[in-house]
Amino acid sequence: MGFIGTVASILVGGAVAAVTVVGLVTTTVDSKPDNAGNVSGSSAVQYGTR
Amino acid sequence: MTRWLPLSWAVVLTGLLLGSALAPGYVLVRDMVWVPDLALRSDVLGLGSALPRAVPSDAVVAVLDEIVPGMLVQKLVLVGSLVGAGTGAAALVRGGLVQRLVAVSLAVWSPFVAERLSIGHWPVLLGYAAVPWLAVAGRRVAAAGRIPPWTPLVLVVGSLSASAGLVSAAVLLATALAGGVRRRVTVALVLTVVAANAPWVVAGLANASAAGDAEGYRAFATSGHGLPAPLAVLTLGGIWNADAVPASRGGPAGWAAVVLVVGLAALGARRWWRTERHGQCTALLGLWAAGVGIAVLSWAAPDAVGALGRAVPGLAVLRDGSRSLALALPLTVAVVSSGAALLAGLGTRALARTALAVAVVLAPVAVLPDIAWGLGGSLRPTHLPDEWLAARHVVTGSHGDAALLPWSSYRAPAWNGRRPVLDPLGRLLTVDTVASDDLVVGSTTVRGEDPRVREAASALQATDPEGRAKALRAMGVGWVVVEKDAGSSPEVAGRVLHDGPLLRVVRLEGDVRRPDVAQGRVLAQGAAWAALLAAVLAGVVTSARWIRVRMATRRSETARVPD
Repeated sequence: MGFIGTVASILVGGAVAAVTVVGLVTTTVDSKPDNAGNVSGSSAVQYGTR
Repeated sequence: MTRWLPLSWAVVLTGLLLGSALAPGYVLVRDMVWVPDLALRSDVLGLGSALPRAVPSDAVVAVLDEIVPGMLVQKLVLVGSLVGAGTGAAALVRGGLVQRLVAVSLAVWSPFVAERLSIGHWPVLLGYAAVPWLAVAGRRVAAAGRIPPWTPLVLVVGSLSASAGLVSAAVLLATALAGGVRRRVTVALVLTVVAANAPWVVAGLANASAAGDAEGYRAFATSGHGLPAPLAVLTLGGIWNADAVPASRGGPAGWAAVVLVVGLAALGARRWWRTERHGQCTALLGLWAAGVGIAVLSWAAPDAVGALGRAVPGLAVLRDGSRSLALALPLTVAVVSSGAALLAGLGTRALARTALAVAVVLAPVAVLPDIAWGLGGSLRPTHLPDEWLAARHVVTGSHGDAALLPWSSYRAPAWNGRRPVLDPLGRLLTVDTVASDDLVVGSTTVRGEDPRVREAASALQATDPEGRAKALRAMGVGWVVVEKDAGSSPEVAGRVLHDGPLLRVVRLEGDVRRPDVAQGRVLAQGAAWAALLAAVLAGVVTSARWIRVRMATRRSETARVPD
């Protein structure tokens, strides 16, 4: 693996790190209770949906 | 220094993943129901009429929260299951630091963890955490013929529910017996497995006639949710519940996860095969095939799995097919991390190797970013209303069981952010409870199997409040607790002892006599608990001795080092 390989490795590592950090930060900042299920108009709360 | 990095990385990932769940309060989400001071009731001990879905987990919690506050026990369970899975995976793989860190990422930041957290299956998560450690224990048994002293404790922790117990037993026995161990060791292993699983086995046999609804096998079959199910299971994901699946799984990131796992596994398979003993390779391959096979079978042929589950007592645990994917964890971690280490080692310069190492260690997180911070904020602790805690002391234990109304199993209370949860009142009260065990999945209702619940449902069908009270009393129900914020309920005649904004507690007047539990069953269940306690004691004693010997060895080594 020569110079190009090294550059490519750095790009891959940097890209994965960037995607990870952006994903984690976005998820954390936007975090809110979700998956509340269908609770409207029915007394039987759903266990889940398929 | 590098010795502690896998543990540190596991702690960091666990903190990032649980995030909001670690705030004060109880996380109540779907099947994860924790309350202050769970009572050690007869149904918790496995003497109820339902299938033992929370045996022995509830009893263990009931005992532990006498020593440590239940809220803290829940945090310890959540953190311990993730850190345990990560460190176990690191201990399982044979390789350098990068491989061990990748193993941690794969085990902690996993679709399996996200899905089971979201649906609240914490005993399954503890079983998942135990799997790599039991594979390590089995490997040591096969190599040295001795059972590691901590094995009984890990096995007990990994056997707090039926499905987790079966997975734990399979992993330990398959890896240990792959080495042709002595008969004495085999007998000791089998006895430990039997003891760790005895409470739910005995309780399950007592209620073996309760057949699962055929609809349940279709409702709880493995599903890919955007990915073809047979590909989703390769990444250890595939729960039936669309609400428990992270959004990223259905998009390009889900496909990227498949490519990542399959690609790195293909790259690392040969290297792994060469570095691991062939007996262990065969055992891990067999476990993977069983785990993935059951999950795929439940997707491909749910009716056939259902027929099998109804015909053979005990096989009803196959209903939720993707739970078995914990069996695939050891091979997935071993082979994929091996490929990742190979890839990271391709760099000829240190900078390139470091960059590739960063890429492979972070890749499992990059393809599943939306499970961070308590599954994107879904895991938010709450506190039970004061009125609930007060009502608990009104319903006392000398007047039969309590029926919970409205007649449905799940609630979505405002005080829990409208998140669906199995009615927490069933855990909070100190008396045994009778509540609907039907499960609503989309437009389908999966019928429960508890005969006593059917009897209560029939009693509530009586035409007038007095008739309902009489029929409930006849079956041993002396209380009716109505959650007023959860929908409409049939009226039941009796003396109202509490009527607040959230709850109404009605005491049914007249004699109430609970049906007796057969003495033989009580004795059998008692023997099962004694066996479990024996396994715990054996684990504590052998672990304490092991720690003492290790500390003494370290002290003597330190003393021998010249100044």
